Amino acid sequence: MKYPVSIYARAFLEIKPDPKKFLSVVAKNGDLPRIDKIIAAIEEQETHDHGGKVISVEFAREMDDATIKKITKKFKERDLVSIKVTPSLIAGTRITIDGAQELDGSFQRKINKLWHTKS
Amino acid sequence: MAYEIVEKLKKQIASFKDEAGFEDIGTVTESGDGIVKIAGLRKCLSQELLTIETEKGEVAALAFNLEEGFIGAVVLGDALAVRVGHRVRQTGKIISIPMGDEIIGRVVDPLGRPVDGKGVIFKDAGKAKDYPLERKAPDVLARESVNVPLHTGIKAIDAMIPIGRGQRELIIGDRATGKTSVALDTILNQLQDPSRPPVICIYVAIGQKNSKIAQFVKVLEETGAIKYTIVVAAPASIPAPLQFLAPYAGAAIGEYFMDQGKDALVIYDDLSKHADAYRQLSLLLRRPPGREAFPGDVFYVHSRLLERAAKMSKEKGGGSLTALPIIETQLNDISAYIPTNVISITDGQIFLEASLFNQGQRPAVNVGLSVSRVGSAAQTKAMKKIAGPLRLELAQFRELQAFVQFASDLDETTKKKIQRGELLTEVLKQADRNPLPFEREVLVLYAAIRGYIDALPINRVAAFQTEFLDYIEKLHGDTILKPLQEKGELTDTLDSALKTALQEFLKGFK
Repeated sequence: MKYPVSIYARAFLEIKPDPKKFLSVVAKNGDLPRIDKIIAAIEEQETHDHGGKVISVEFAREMDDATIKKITKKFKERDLVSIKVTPSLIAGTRITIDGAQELDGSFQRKINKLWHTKS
Repeated sequence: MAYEIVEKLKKQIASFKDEAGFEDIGTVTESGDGIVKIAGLRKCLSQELLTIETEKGEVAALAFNLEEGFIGAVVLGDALAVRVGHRVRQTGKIISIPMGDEIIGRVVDPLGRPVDGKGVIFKDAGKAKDYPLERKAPDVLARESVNVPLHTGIKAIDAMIPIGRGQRELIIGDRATGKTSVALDTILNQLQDPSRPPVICIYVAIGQKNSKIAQFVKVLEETGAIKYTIVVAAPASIPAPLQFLAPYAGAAIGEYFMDQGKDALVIYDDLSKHADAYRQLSLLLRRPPGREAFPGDVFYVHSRLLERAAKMSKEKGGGSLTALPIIETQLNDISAYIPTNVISITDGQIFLEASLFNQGQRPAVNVGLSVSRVGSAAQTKAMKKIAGPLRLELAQFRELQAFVQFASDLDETTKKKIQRGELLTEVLKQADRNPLPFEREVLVLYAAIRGYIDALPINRVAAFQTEFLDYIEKLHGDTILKPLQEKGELTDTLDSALKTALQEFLKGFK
């Protein structure tokens, strides 16, 4: 039986095992190809356990360090903030919170909305 | 032209207002076989229409399973375009079909999109009214008893298994026994009942071959029946979710006309394939399988669909929605899971038997196993008066027929009963695409049941029928045919006029 990544994350956070032991269990279950997802799930659950939020900030192009710092400062310390470059946004920024809510200020969204607006 | 388009676009851009705000979104976490799992969208409603943002544009999906950690949805568009990581948004809309009178005469898919190549259905899309595919069936107070007949034009059915407007009558039988032909004849016959309000017909083809649907539409076009018919096409080539939605779309179209106080007839061809599509969908959604691997709610899937057929009370407009579901059996087994379910839901069934079909008895109606539980209340008085003893006589004939297979010496009474049974069986034979108006059915059955043609050889029955109807139409059109059609009653005066005309005709018939 394949364990969902959320189960691995919960188990890891509850017993906090030696990472080597944890990795060997993952490898034994044949889940090493999913290790990135498992690590991401652990980070997300730990953030949620500490009352934080998982925030993804996407820019249309590379931003300088000062701008990134300015944006990350807007969030609380317990939040898990990741920065990504998504060229398909064309221009602007998109912020996603916990994968369930988003604030989309990208040009891509504006074009889509204009396209779907009935005349 | 180009200038106008540019101006229109400029105006649209100038008036475009957009302020970014927080929106709920979901993410595709699994995708395959037309099913997607979505994380997020915590406020999603059951049966809500979702949009998946793919590289190839937006793809519609329908929320089916609302689980603790994810949503199981079925893709209604290009499932191959959907990948893990794509964003999903709610539309706030329950799946519905745009409705208006312009839809009559068109062939549409289960989402109401035209598939007949005749262009857009609604010139002004804003005027089309959205009808939800899933709607609660009318309650008890909104209904009244079935009281208006829906003639099929098939003698055996109109005489012994009458159908009323608002009834649910199942057509059941093995493959190639004439189930679709009964449905087609019923549609064609609606042209021939001018004394009653017209019936809008909806034919829902589920999981059928495209060629069969094309052939069906061609017949409708050739006969002119397409003018009052709508075809919902969900052929075997489209994904199972759309096949599953097709009958609900048909019901929604019927409800649109019923709400206007009109009479509608919807044919679901067939619900066995619909159950198969639902089974596929449910197994892919990992819903627990039950008997024959169908999910536990397959009964409810059909009962909630067929409960939408109703005869509305006068206060609610007096419209009606008649349902003729079709079920295909395997080796005449009507006790299988889906057939028994649908038999118990409907108000009767027309059972078509392969052995009768192969013996040349067409339509191959098995009178013993066919029944109409509410239709007799709607049967015209003339037909009721004539056809009363028919079922009993045929039942006795079938019993004797089985019995005499083992006996060589027969008494005179038994011989006569068998001969009469054979004659009645011959009278009930009817070619497909040849429905008879009810007044003509009454005339033929009158001659047969009252014993006027008992001495006629079996091979002359078809000729008698044609020539007798021709004779009545030409010489007694105003005195017999017209009053019978208008009043639907066989009065004493009409009875004696018919008797005299029949005796006159038989004198000259060789």
